[in-house]
Amino acid sequence: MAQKRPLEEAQVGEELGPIRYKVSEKLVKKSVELVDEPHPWYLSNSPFGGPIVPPLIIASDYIRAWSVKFFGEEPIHTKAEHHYINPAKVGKELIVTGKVTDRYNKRGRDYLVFETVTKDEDGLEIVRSKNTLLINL
Amino acid sequence: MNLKPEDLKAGSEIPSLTKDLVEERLTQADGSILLDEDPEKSIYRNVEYARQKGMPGVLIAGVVTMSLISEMLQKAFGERWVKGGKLSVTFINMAFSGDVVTAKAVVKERAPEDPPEYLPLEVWMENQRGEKTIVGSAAVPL
Repeated sequence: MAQKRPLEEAQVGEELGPIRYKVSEKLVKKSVELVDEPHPWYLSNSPFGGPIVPPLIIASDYIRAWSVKFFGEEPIHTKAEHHYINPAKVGKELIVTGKVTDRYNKRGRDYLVFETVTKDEDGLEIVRSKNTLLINL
Repeated sequence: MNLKPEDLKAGSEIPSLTKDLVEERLTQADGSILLDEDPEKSIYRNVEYARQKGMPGVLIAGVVTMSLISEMLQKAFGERWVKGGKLSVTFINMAFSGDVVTAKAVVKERAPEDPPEYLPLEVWMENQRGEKTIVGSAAVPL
């Protein structure tokens, strides 16, 4: 694997991924431990044919995408947009792809914008996301 | 719960969701682990390191607090949210371990630019001091 570069070196247009990961029951259980009353759809059946993946796991996909290529010291999430298209099913492999789509400086601080798409192993689109990261607090 | 978005009017409040941000659990959250390579030097995972940086506790990753808003909307709208819901937020204040946060939402007056096939909501998150930590909007398919 290529050596990671600092986030400060990310360039607009740089591709991210594809990152592949499988959502296991173990990962789901770890995620729902954060929530006192997890939605029953995460651990048992749902209207979609089996348990579905909690939003916390999917919300982290943009981090999965950039963190294999870049490292950052204390990056701060400042904005997020998610369009949930289909629920991801537990046990399926998810594939995240994306791109660095913008970079700007505001009040002396540098920001990066990442746009990602998550699909499952069958090609079903799960979520489209756009996230902004403050890279130097 | 399964609220029907077409039955809701502007001003309708969505049942809120309150969570105690317990440090031990949150330092193991997906978002926290992915953000920092070195758990010892992580404002997301090491409370002592975070305090050295002037923080009252570990910083809670934005994906964690934002996902609580999504949880609230999923509990309220069920399938309608899971297939087609849209969420757009700005993190305006940090949330730390030890905080108690509440995700809230209310149906907005429809603006001309709001797509007619969605119910527009204002969403936000408050901490125990009533300070907003997240502001934004959501749209639930009608």
